[in-house]
Amino acid sequence: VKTALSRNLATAVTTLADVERACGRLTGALGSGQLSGEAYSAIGALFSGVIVPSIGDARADIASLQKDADRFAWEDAKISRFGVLKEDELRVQIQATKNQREATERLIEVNEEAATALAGLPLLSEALPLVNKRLETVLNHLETELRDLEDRLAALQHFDSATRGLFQKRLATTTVAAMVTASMTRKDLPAGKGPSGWTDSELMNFLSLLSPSQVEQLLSRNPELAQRFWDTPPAPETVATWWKGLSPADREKWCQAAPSIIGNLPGLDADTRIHANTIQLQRDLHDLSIDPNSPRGIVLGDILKALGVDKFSGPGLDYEQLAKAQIPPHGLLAYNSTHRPPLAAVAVGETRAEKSGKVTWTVPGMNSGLGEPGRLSGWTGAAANLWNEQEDTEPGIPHMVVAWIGYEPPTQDASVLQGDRARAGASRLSKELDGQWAADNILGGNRHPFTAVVGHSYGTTVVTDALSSGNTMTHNVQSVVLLASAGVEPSIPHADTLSVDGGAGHVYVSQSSQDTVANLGRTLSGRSDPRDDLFGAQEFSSEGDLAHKLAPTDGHDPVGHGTDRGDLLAPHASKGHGYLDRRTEAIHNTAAASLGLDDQINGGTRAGFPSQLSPRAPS
Amino acid sequence: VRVSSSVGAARDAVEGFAAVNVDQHPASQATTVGSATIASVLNGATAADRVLEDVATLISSVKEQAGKVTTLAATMEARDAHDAGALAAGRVIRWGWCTTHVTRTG
Repeated sequence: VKTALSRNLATAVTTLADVERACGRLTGALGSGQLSGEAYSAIGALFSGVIVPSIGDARADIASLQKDADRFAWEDAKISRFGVLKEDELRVQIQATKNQREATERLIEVNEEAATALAGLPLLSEALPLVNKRLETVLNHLETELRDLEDRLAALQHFDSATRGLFQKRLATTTVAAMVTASMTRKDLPAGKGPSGWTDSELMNFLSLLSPSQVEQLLSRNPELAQRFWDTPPAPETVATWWKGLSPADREKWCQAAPSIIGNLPGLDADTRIHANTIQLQRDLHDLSIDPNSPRGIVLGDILKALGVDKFSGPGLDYEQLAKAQIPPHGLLAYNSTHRPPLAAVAVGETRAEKSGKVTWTVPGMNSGLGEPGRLSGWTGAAANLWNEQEDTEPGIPHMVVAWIGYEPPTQDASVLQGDRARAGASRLSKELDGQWAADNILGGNRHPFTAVVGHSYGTTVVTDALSSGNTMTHNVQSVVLLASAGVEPSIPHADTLSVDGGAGHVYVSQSSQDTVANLGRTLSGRSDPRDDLFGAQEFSSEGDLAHKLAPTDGHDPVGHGTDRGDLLAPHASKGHGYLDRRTEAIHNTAAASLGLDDQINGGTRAGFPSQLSPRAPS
Repeated sequence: VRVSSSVGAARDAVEGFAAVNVDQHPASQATTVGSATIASVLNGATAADRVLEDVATLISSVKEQAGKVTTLAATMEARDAHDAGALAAGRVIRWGWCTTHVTRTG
């Protein structure tokens, strides 16, 4: 054993050193410029981030085994003077010697008794003590042999005790899939820490190397994994290419095994995401541990209402199909119920818009965070209004409008004046928008994807942050509409700096003169008004045009309510007079602008009003 | 995304893996423990055999990943040749895990 261990451990060490050198040569070449691009980078990240550290772990495991081998050899040296020791044989020998000893002792006693009884027979009585003397010599020899055997057994037992527990270590990672799993479990950083956790490349490796069942198992032990995918999703183009290579059966396995990951993976098509998210939704609806009055519980009801399926009841309902059967069709495009607050998005309209139509993402502002009744269903209603308006504006083209509440919007407190929530939301939104391109182009075969973004109030801050250089988007969107802006960060000096095809020419802004809330938000936060002519966006009217039966917007809300406009402390838009209420000039123009149909914008567009600010130098 | 690829460079990058082979290492040795009953002897014998099996599995798995580099380079080269006519117009090509725009003007 000692020799084999020694040789095999030495072989293992030498071989691992060889493979480490080979890995070093490969990673060096991947970083040299001769082999570059996303695919090579992903392989490089796998080697440098997972494989090389795992080989280091394997070497440490072997060093631990070597230490055990040294201890084994040391203990073995202590008993080497005994030669080969076999416990079973020793016990048999000890028992046999003891038996022999007892037999000898009995014979001595018999001889002594016989000598006494035969005292009258001189020759015999003298002979028996002589025999006993020889027997006592034998007895002494047996005693010595017995002690020696017992010493050997004790030494063996000591050896057993001293070496028990050695060689339990096994190389922790024997396949790359296991390495990825082990690395994932080791990185026990709290969820939501973004770059400090797994990189997007590492997460992609995780998907491409592990099986759905392995991921399911890992996800059950590490539920925060889904949040890591949300925070730092793999590159959408890589995701789409990976997904394209999977068979329908494998795709279904992934949806069933990891719906919370697949449903929120930018780069996947809307049908897939909706399918996965509805699987997760149905599971959550049956999860009795979710308190109906908690934010998670409240959002479940809100989602059913948003999908238009809250009136259905009975066992075995297929919410995916029921929501798809609505007019317009609805689907749960994003669903992250374990985040606080929960995050979600509903797709309204035709998912085939990804292949051959136009997709519009809508981003709400203050007081739209999920976890309170009606938030998602309300914003989805506004998205449905916009979808209907788009259908009227551009018939014959498939449209899909996304009601996105994938960030934590501010409430009516200091958070609305700060940019933190917007920056966090923008990070995710930029990935979703890049994901839309990948889903359209790579999975949908759409050579010219069309993606628009509409922001309202603080949502405009999120949108402009997402499209700014702070979030390095790979692909431009085609149109941006900023309604009732709560302000654009001063670090974004001009609409031309946004990731939009056509630059400022396809960035549209509007605010009703009756909306005083947006002004207040900008003034208190110090953010800029995107209507300022120095920003360069195209302004359209939300004032109403009775000649064309287009109502004015009379307050800040996307959807108006009540018969009045509220009071000074709580102003709001009246019913039918919100920015995204049907038959308003605002929604008519938002639909046209978002679809890039400038000629259908009522009243056309104009450059913003003369700047009231000092000219800013472009950064 | 800047892309550069060459089958030759890929082969050169993974060349080091060809020489790595634990199965045919002359020094390795299988163990026999007969009727031993001492736990550490049995565990030691198992460890001696298993360590090489584990290393062999690990290396095979790592080699498989390294092999993706040459496969990727070969795929790119094949598609590059196939798409050569269209590339001048700035077409999109796809390969492996990645999709990228490649524009060539000459």
